Order: sequence, then C-alpha cells, then structure tokens
Amino acid sequence: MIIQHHPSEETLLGYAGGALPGPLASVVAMHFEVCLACRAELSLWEKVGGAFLEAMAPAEMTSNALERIFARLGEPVREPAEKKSRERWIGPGIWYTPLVHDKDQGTRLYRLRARAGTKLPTHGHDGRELTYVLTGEIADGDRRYGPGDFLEADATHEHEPRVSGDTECVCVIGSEGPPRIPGIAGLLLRAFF
Amino acid sequence: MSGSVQDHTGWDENSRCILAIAANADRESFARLFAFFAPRVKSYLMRSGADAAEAEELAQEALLAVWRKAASFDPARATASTWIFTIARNLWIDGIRRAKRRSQMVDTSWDIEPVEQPGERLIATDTERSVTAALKMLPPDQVEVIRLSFFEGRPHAEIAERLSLPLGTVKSRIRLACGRLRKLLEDLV
Repeated sequence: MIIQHHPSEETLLGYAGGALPGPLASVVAMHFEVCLACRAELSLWEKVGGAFLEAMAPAEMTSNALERIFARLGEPVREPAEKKSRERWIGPGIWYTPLVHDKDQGTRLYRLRARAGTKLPTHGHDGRELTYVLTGEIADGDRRYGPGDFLEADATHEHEPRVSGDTECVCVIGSEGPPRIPGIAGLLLRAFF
Repeated sequence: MSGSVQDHTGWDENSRCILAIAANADRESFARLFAFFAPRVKSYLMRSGADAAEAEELAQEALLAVWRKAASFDPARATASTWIFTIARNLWIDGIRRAKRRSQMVDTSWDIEPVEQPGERLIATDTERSVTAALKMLPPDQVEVIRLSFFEGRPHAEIAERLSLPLGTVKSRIRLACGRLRKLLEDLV
C-alpha cells in the first residue's frame, strides 16, 4: 500500500487533542492504522497532551469522588452493544451503510460502496468531510486517492469526487453538517435519516 | 509478577503507581494517582468544552479505565501522563452527549507551572518536562494557536477569524510552533 494523502496538520492536531468529533476521529483513526508516519506524528502530539495534562491547573472534584470510585472498582466492564447496520441502495451504482449518526453534533459516519465511474455523493459546504479509502480509487480534481489514502474537504473546498479506475470503491466517510446532496442520491440519503 | 515492580524503581512515581496497580491491585497507589490526575483530567475536559458534571463523570471513567487497563501500561513507551491523557481523550471523543461543547469554549491561556527540579522525575517524564519547558519558551502568540488547534481543533481559517489575524499569519505561527516542538521531541526520542 502506497499512501500518498494524509490528514492535514489541523486535523491531526484536532484528533490528538480530542477536539475532533467522534465520527470524524474514527476516519482519522483508520488512516493511523495503516500509516506509520502519521502514527509517529500522533505519538509526538500525545506527549504534548501528556505535558499539558500534567501542567494543567486542577479542577475541584466533588468531595466524595474517591469513595465513589473505590465503590466502582469491582464493577464488571460493560462492552457496548454492537449495532448492526444494513447496506442500502441510494442511487445508480451507490450503496450506503450508516455506521454512526450523532444528532446532537450533527455528525455522521458511514460507508459508501460505489461502482467505477460513479460520482460520489458529498455533503456540500456545511462542514468538514473526511474520507478514508478502503479499496478502489477516487479522483478529485487532478488528485487520485487509493487504499489507505485520506481525503479531506472543508467548507471552503469545492470537491467532486468520483470513482476512477476499473474497480468499485469502498470508503468510509465522517462528516458534519446536514447533507445537501443534489439528485436522487441526496433525496434517498435524506430519506434514510 | 510482583517482582517486576521492584525492577522498575527507575520509573517516575506515577508510573510506579500504575505498575503497582497492575501487579497487586494496589488501592493506595490508585488513590494517589486519582488525587493527582482526576482533577487535571476534569480540568482538561472542561477546557475542551464539557460542563462540570460531565467532566467529573468522564474523569471518573478515565481513572476507572486506568485501574482496569493498568496491565497494558508500558512505562518504556509512554509516561503515565501521556497514557492517561490518551485514555481521557478517547473517552471524550467517544462521548455522545456533547451537544453543548462548542458553545462553551473557554478562553483561558495555559496554566503552565514552573519546570520541576532535575532529578525529581526520571526517564520518560524528561520528555514531558521538556515539552513543558519548550512551551514556556515559545512566544505566547504561538502557544495560543497551538492551543486552539490542539484543544478546539478548529480549522486555521476559523482561528484566523477568531484572533482577527490574516490566515497566512496563523498558518506560519502554527508551522513555527509545531516545528520547534517537533525538533525538540525528535532530539529526545
């Protein structure tokens, strides 16, 4: 796997410090899984985080905080229930699997599977949209994104990704802001939420 | 297993506490870690936009995770502070109820305490102490942009707007500050 496109420094810092919303952070984490360079950079910033934490002015805890946590030390660990989600057809050549929808934050995580030549539905201009390519290839302008690559679009960035290459493309997308997708795909996407 | 704690006398106090939890489920060590880290984790979460009650609850969860995951802590790879920071950060990222966080961004500058005396902590914390020292050496305007990027994760354009600065100035400040920090940390690793 040759990784050519990485998260921007602002995205990496946002992840390291915990400022990136969950669904967006999940996409960045997928890239970290395969990218040693970004992982090294992350570990550097986590050291900065550790130093920040140590130097932080302490906030006052409630008076019985220690007793309460001692009472909880033996608690069994609760594993979060795994949610099953089904893949849906949302337009010619495009299948959509919702993974997370945080209504409070207006953020989403979902998987898209699209046939070669298809234009991918995007979220328009209302927020950041982070994409991680699992298989296949996406072209956006004159850039090509393959497996492991990270594609970043924000409110100031007009982009029109489409599936290039000969095979279908599977990618995971984290986005914020309401979907404003034109055409049938947008209509169907809105209908599902 | 219990012998490994004695073998690690070189580690700093906080790391030794985690190792003691892993080896002996040592509650006294846990109480010490809790006293130091829970109020700081709470402080970090409040600065990131949590309200006091949510920050308290997540700080409890973070320290509970320290108790449970103590066996996976490797003091050669991370300091106690960095390890606990990532635990708290991941809990915060995974938190669902964060609707109010953006409206509660706090605008306080870093409370960076004086660097500790040499010899007070050993090995891995040297890195963090140096990070703290480096942050103190950076001009305040560079620390400010790092802070905004790190805790609030705002795009550079938003930081520029907020500080009424040209985008180019924000970008160059971040680049300068990142460069200096990175250089320092790479020299240490």
